[in-house]
Amino acid sequence: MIGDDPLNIIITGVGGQGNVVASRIIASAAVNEGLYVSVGEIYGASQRGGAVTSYVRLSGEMQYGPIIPRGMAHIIIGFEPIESLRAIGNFGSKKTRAIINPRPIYPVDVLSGTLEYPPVEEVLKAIKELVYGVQVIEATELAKKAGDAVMQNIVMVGCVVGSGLIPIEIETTKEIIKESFAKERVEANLKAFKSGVGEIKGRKAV
Amino acid sequence: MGEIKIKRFMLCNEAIARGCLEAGLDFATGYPGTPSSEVIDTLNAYHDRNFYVEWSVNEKVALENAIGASWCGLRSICVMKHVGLNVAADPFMSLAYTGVKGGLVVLSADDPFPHSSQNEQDSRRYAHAAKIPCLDPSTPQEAKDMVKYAFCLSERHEIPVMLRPTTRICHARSDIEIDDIPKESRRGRFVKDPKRWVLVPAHAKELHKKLNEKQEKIIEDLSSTPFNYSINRGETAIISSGVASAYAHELIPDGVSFMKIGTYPIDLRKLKAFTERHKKILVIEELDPVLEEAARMVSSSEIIGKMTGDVPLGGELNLNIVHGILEKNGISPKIRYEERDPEEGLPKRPPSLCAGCMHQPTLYAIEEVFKGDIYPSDIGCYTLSAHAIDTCLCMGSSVSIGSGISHCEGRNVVVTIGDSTFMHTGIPGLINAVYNDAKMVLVILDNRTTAMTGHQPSPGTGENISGTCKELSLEAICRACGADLVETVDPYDFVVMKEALHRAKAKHGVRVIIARHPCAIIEKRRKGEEIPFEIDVKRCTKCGDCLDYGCPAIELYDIKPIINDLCNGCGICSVLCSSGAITRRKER
Repeated sequence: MIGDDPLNIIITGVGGQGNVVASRIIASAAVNEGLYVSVGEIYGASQRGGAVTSYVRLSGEMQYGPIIPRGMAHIIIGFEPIESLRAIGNFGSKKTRAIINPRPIYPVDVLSGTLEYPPVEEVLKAIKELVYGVQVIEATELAKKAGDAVMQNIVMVGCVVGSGLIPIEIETTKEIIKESFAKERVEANLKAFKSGVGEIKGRKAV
Repeated sequence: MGEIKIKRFMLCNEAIARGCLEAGLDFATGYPGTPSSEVIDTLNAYHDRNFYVEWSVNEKVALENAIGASWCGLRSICVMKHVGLNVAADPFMSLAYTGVKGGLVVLSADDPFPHSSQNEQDSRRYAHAAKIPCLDPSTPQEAKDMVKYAFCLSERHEIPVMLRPTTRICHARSDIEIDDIPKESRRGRFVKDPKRWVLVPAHAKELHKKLNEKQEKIIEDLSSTPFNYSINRGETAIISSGVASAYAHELIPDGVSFMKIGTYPIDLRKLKAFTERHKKILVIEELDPVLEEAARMVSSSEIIGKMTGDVPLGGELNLNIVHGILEKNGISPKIRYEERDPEEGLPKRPPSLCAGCMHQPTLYAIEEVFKGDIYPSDIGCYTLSAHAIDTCLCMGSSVSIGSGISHCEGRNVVVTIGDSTFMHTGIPGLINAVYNDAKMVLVILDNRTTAMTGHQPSPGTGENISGTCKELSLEAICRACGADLVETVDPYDFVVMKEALHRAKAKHGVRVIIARHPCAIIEKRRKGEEIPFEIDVKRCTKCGDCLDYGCPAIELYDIKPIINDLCNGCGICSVLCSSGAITRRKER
C-alpha cells in the first residue's frame, strides 16, 4: 500500500513553531487515507522554547509504537536548521529525505553570547552529507506572504504533501486544515498550505 | 462479528477520557500534572457534559472527593501524575480496605526518563502495596479499553483500580475505535454502613481479611482479559509490559516466545508455566523490575533483566535500547538498525522562561535585594529561571524546607512558590512556619494560573473548571495563617518590587510578598501584543546587564545586544539599563 512500511516521519523544531499542529494535520490526513497512524510527542517544554520532536509512523498493516528508532526516519521535516541537523544526526540516514526551513532560532545560550550558532550554510552542508536529499524551503518567508510568519509549519506541511513522498492526497489534507482552525484562520492557512505545495511542485525532486 | 468500528484520531489521554464517557462516568477529579493533565481537560470540554468534573486543590483532596462519589454508588475517576499519588497515598492505601461502591479508577501516570518530573517512581509498586489491581497499557487503544474494563472490575470486586499509563503512552496519538456514549445521568445515594466506611481498628481487621480474600478472584478476572497474552515458539522468551512490549513486539524474531503482561497482580501460575517452558527469559520493562522479580520468584530458568544489568534501571526504553538488549543476548532482531553517532557539539536548546514572564523580574529582584542568601523554591515554571532557585523537591516543599533552613542558618531565607502550588500544599508549611517562629520571606509567584501543565485554573483565580467562582484571596489566607507582613506588588513595576523586598528584609518573623502579574502567555491571548522595546546602539555601553537578566527576547548580535521578535513589551530591561538605551518602539 505504501512504499516503506512503516513510513517514519520526523517533524522537528522549537517550542512555539507549531510542531504539534503539523503532526496532527499529517496524521489526521493519513487516518482519512485509511492508514494505521501512531504519533509520539513529548509536551511540556513545547511552549517554552525547548526543542520539540514529533514522530509520525504510517502503516498499511499494523499499529506501530509511538517512537522511531535512530537512523530509521524516511522523511525529516525541520522547522529550524540546528534542530534539523540534531534530528538527522539521530534519526537520519542515506535513505532519508529532508525538507528544511533554513531560518535559525537562537537557543538561550546563543542569545546571551555564551555559545555560538554555527553558520547556517555549514549546517545545511552537514545535513546534505548525511541524507539522500534535501529541499531547503524559505517557509517563514512564504508564510509571511500568506499573511503570517507563524504559518511556516503549514507551508512545510504543504511541501511534504506536495512532494508526493507520503501517501496523503492534497485534497484530504485541505479538508483536515479546514477542520483544524477557527473559521477566520482557515483561509490564510489554506493559502500557506497551497504556497508550500506550489513551491515544492516547482522544484526538481531529490 | 464483522462489525466495522468507527475510528477517530486522538491523543491517548483524550482516548482515556473517551473511554470514561463510554463507561458512563459520573464524577471526575484531578490535579494537573504532566503527562496526565489532558484527561480532565478533555472530559471538561465534552459538549454534552452530564457528569461532575473538578480540578481539585491537590491529589489527596481529589481522591477523597472521588471516594465520596464512589461511596454514593457513582462511577468516578481521579487523575494525577505519579508523584501526585504520594500526596494521595493516605486515602489511597486505606481505600483498598473499605473498598468502593461505584467503580473508582485511580489514574497515576508515570514518567520514565523523567521528561517533566522530579523522579522516576513506579506506580505499580503502589498498587502492589495497597493490594489493588493495576492496569498497564501498551498502546492508546489499550488504555481506552482498559479504563472501560477498570470500572467494571472495580464494581465487581468493590475495589479501586489503578490505570498506570506512562508518558510515551499518554502523549501518543493514534486512530482509536470509538463506541456510543450513554446519555442518562445518575444521582448518587450514600448508604450508611459503618462496618465498611468507618475504618476503626476493629473494622480494619475484618476488612483487611476481606481484601486478602479478594485477590485470587481478581487474578482470575484479570486472566480472562486480552491485556495479557503469550505466544510459545522457541526455547528463549521475552516477557514485557507497557510501551516496552510494543518495542519488543516490533523487534522480536520468529522462533522466540513472547509474553505480554498488562495487569497486576500477576497470575503467578501462568507466569510459572510459561517460564518453565523456556531455558532463557529476557524481561524487558521500564522503571522497576516488577515483572522480573515475579519471574525470579516462580522460575528456575535463566532470567535476564535489570537485576543482571542487561536492562537499564533508570530512564526510558526505546527501540534502539531494546535492539541492543536482544543482540547482546543472542537474539537477532527482526529489523536491523545501524549504529549511529548522534551529532555532538550543537548548541543545546533547553526550555526557558517566556519573554515577559513575571517570574523573571521577581526572582531577579530577590537575587539583587537578598544577595548571597538562600532561595528555597518549588514545582512550577520558575525552576526554568537562572535566578534565585536553590531547591526544588516536591509540591509545597519550599515553604517547609525554607523554615527548616531558617532554624539552622544565619542567612536570610527567601522562599518562592507559585499560586497553584501554594494552594496545593504550601499552606500547611506557612502555618507551621508561623507556629514555630521561623524567620523567612515567602514570595508567592501569583501568575493567576497553573502555567506549566497547560493553564488550568486554581482557587485564587476566581475560576474553576466550569467557569467563574468564588475567588479565594491569597492575602486573606496568609493573614489568617498569621504572617507578620502581607504585601502585594506587581513585579512588572521592578522598582516597587525591590522596595517591597527591602521592606520585608527590614522586618522580622514570617513575611509574605505576593508578586502578582498574569502569565505572559495568558496575557498575550487576552490583550494581544504590546509594542516591543528596542536598544539604541549609540547609547548602549555594552555593559551586559540586560543580557544577565536572561530574557529570550534579548540577544547578542555581533557583540551588541538587540531585542528580537519575542519581546512582549514588559519593559523590565529598560529599567535595568543604566545608560537609558532601551526604550519602547514608536510603533510595531
